[in-house]
Amino acid sequence: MTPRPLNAPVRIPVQVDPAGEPRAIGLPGPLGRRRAVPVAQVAERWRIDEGWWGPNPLSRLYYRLALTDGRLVTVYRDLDDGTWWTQRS
Amino acid sequence: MVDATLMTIAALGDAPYAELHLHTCYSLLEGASSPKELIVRAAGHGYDTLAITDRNNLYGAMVFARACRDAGIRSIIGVELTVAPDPDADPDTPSGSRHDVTLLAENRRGYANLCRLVSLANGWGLVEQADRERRRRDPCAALHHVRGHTAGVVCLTGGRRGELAQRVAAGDRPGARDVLRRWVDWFGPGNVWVELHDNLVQGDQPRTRAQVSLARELGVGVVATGDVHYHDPERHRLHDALCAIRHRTTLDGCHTQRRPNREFHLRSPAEQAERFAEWPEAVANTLRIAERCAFDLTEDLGYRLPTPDVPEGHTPDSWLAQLCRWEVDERYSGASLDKARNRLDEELGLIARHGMAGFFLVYHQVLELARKVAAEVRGDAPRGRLGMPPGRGRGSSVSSIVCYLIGLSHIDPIEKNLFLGRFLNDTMSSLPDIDLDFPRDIRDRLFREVYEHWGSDHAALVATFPRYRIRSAVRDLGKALGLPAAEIDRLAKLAEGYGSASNVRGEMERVPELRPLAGTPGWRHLIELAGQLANFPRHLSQHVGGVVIASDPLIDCVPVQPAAWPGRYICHWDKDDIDDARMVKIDFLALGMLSLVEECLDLCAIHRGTDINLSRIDFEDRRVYDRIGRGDTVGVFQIESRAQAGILPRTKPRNLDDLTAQVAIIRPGPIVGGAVHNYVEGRSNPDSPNLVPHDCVRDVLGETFGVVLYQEQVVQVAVAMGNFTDGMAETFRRAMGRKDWGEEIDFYRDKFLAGAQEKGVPLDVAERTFESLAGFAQFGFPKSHAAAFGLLAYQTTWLKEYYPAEFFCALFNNWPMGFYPPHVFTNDARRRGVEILRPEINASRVPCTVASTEGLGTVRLGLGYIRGMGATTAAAVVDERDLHGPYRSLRDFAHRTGLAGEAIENAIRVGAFDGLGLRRRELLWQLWLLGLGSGAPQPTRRTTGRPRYRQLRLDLPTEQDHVPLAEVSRFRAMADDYEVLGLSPEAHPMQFLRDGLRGRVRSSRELLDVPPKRTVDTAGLVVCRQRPGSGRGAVFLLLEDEHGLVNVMLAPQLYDRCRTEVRGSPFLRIRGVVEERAGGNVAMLKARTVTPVRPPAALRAPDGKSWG
Repeated sequence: MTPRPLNAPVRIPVQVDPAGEPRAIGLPGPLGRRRAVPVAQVAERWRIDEGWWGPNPLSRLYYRLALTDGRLVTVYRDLDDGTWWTQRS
Repeated sequence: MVDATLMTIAALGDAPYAELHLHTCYSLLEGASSPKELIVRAAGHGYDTLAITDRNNLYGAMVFARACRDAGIRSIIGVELTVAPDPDADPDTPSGSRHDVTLLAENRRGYANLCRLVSLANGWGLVEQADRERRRRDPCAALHHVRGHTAGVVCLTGGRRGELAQRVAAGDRPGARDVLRRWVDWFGPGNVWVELHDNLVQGDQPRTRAQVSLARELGVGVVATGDVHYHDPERHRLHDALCAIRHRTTLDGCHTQRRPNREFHLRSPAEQAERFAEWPEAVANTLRIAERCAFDLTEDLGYRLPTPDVPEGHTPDSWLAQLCRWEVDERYSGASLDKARNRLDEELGLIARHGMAGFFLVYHQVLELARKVAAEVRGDAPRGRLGMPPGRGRGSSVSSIVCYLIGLSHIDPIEKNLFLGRFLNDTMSSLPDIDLDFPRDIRDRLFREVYEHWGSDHAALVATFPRYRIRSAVRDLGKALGLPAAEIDRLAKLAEGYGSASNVRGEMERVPELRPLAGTPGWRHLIELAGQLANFPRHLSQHVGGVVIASDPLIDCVPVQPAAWPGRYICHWDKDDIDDARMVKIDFLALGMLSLVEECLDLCAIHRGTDINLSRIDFEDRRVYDRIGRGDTVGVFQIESRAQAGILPRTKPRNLDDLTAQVAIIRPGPIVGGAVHNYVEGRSNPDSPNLVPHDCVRDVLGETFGVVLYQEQVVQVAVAMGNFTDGMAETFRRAMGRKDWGEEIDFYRDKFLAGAQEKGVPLDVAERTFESLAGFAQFGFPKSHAAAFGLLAYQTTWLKEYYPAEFFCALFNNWPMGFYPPHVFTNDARRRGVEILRPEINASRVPCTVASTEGLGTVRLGLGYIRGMGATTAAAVVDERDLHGPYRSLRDFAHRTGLAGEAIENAIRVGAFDGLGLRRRELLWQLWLLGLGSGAPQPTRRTTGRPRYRQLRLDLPTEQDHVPLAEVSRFRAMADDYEVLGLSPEAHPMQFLRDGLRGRVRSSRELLDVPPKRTVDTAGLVVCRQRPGSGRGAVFLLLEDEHGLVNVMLAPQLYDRCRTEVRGSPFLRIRGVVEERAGGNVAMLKARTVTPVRPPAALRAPDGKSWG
């Protein structure tokens, strides 16, 4: 068994609106099945561009989202490949 | 009311947003785009108004305002000011904590307040040098200063870094409320706006919501700004790298200081409106503020020329006329009096028309001050009675009779027939240049007198901004990127001279070891970023001698701050900005050669009893011109360099006019224009085909064989061939000397070519001519200036010819100056028959002295020339000798002076104790017996300089232990000389190296007898290495051996092969082809091969002057 870093980002499915903003995100529901939870409000957006000079450059657009089920989550889009991730903050 | 506002806003243009917070590269090591880049991008985005808010300075304000005007954009002058309750308190305590606030000038008054606040933030008004120094490194204004300078200023609360925002972010709403109330209280309601930043930094959006809510609660407006630091998102890399450079660390090491993303670029108005869509009033308010800030720096500066006091009943015009008329009757008679009067009337008319009498009277005042200073500095020295002017004018002012009469220049423009046009003409767009040269000591005193006379809020030094060149860019960026230090160092060292930072790739590709690196990731970043960083300002520095003087406080026009140099003040603008602001700048330049001349005249008076008046010597002296014609000019003014010495034998100047041309021709400008060859050709061969490019410029260029030599000719050719008006031609000439010339050149080229076409000049001729004018950029002389310098060149050659010992003595004492190091002119003196004596403890003074005037004279080196001795110590040694008589022994010397260690040892090694009758090795042995060798414990030294008398450790007799030792070898003695004195009075290293050379190696003297085109060998010490921009990559070396100098030229391909040897080896052997030579005593060799000659390890050869 290889050790897994704590708090490693986890890839998640996200539905986006035509402007590219998250509309709903797939979160593990009860019984471990994913379900799409709609976004109620974008609480904040911020961007990180780091490490461009080294081997692991990263560009991410973070969202702090209020979901319709009352949960608050932080997700980000990897701006290099467009994939979505979540990270417990 | 509302309608009126809306109409004005509509009149501004259509952009829904104005950018009110923007940093340029003048926010040093922070802003990552030039003003030009930002403005071009802003114009592309359709901006109508743009503010500049650099951090704690207005360095870029004038450049920005003018570039905006040219782009059709309104500019607002502002600043991002760092403030603290008490800037001297620890920044980690509440009273020392720093915050930013954004201030914009609404009107003239507000602009003056900004200037004062910026000055205060940079240490203006602090008395102690240590406090000034601290503030200079960490600018910050005290809050109470801000409170006193609020009129006409619009205050934005400073976004993310403002105190308001930080309290809000910390959840301290009551504290935030207090801060906002304080600003409103100080600036007045309606003048304060809560500044909102959203650069997608975590925290921006919640903070903005809280700020808006607070602003609404207190009825204060909100405004959105972009916190712009670069024009394009991609520039965030350079911005990050600058952050690392600023904090002297690597990119990895400045994580907490770096901005987290690439969102600090100039967004379009629409994008900004979109980003702040939730707060439309914050966007609309940018336009309201933009409309209010109507101050235009390019128009409304309000600087007035200084107005000197004139006697009752006079205007400045009538007083200037009066002063000149008195003088004209004194200085002229007969026919020349009429001519002079006519010229004077013409000039006074022009001066009155342009309202410049006050300007000339200020100069008159400065000269009066200078005369006072000169009298004090010269004191009782013989030169004090020679009636010399305190300094000399240079530049185009020398052509003016008014300048001559009020004592600004020493050249009679009537006699010399100087063309006035460049200095004063009908269509003057800016003030004429007047530059003054002074001996160093007078100049330094004069600076202080000027501050005392006008006050440091009315007078300040002009700034200059040293810019990023290839070497500095490679070093700083290399470190930031964490590239290996060894390779960075290697690349920086190999990168030549002041190459452009955009050529890092080219430099890397020239070096085999670095070539493969150019494609690797880190180095690719270096190449890219260096290209962007090229030409950015690095820091504020002082111009060589420019001073601005104002009659209203200068500090209301431009920030003024203490300079690094104690007691000096510096303003925030460079010479171009000062010119654009139409301010009077006076250049006080220190000219070492004038110091030399003054000392030389003193020595002549002391040793020969001759008072020499240099303006009345024979200017037609054959002996002097013969000497010049042989290129035998080491040490004299301007015509001594390697290039000059090479050309003089071909041009053979025979009078002062020829010398004027000679001084003008070896300048980077004319050389680039390809002038030298044509001039030399025309001069040496009267029958050579005519080189005047076209008939329309025959009158202008005829006398200089078709070559553009003087700035006046640039103006005249622009008129005659390019069909420019006089005013336009003068603007063109000035544009060439500015930092933005590269951007302007196309405009003038098109105009010139179009004008030439109208005149029927063939396109290729017009293009060639334009390039030769453009080659002049920055470097050419006006003719009057060349005449002043040519005259000084003649005078110094004359002194060297007739008073060589006095001349060399003064040269030793005033070095560093000129082209050559002391060992070169020592050898020159010796070859000429002037004896140079070693320093001697019972004969030398601190400086060098004339020991005898027998024959050609003898110079005694001063004790100050001994390395490790130092001027203060040497002075103590001489004082003690003057008081108590000569030193009788080494023990006596050590006793009386308290010296030990290296100072005495060095003095012994170069023979300063030879007069005591012992050999040097015996003396060194004695020194050890006395326990005073350099390894022995040193006496305690007081820091005040003068060594203390002291008891020797154990004052026992040592005579019984003295032993006879052999004298050191001649080679060893010579090696000691070079190490300790930097020269050898008796021997040249080549004498000792010559025996070790295989095969036939000719000396510099033998080379003179070798016919051209023969291939021969020579060897010598490298005195200088040059790679002139005009040489198309060729490298020139000057070698010296025991008989004289040799010029060597290396083709670029050869140089590329033997770079390491040429750059690193002090002695070289050259095989090469002897070039054609028209007399003169320096041979020229075109190198085929270059081999290093290895000197014995004991010899520390002096470094040649490289690439200077």
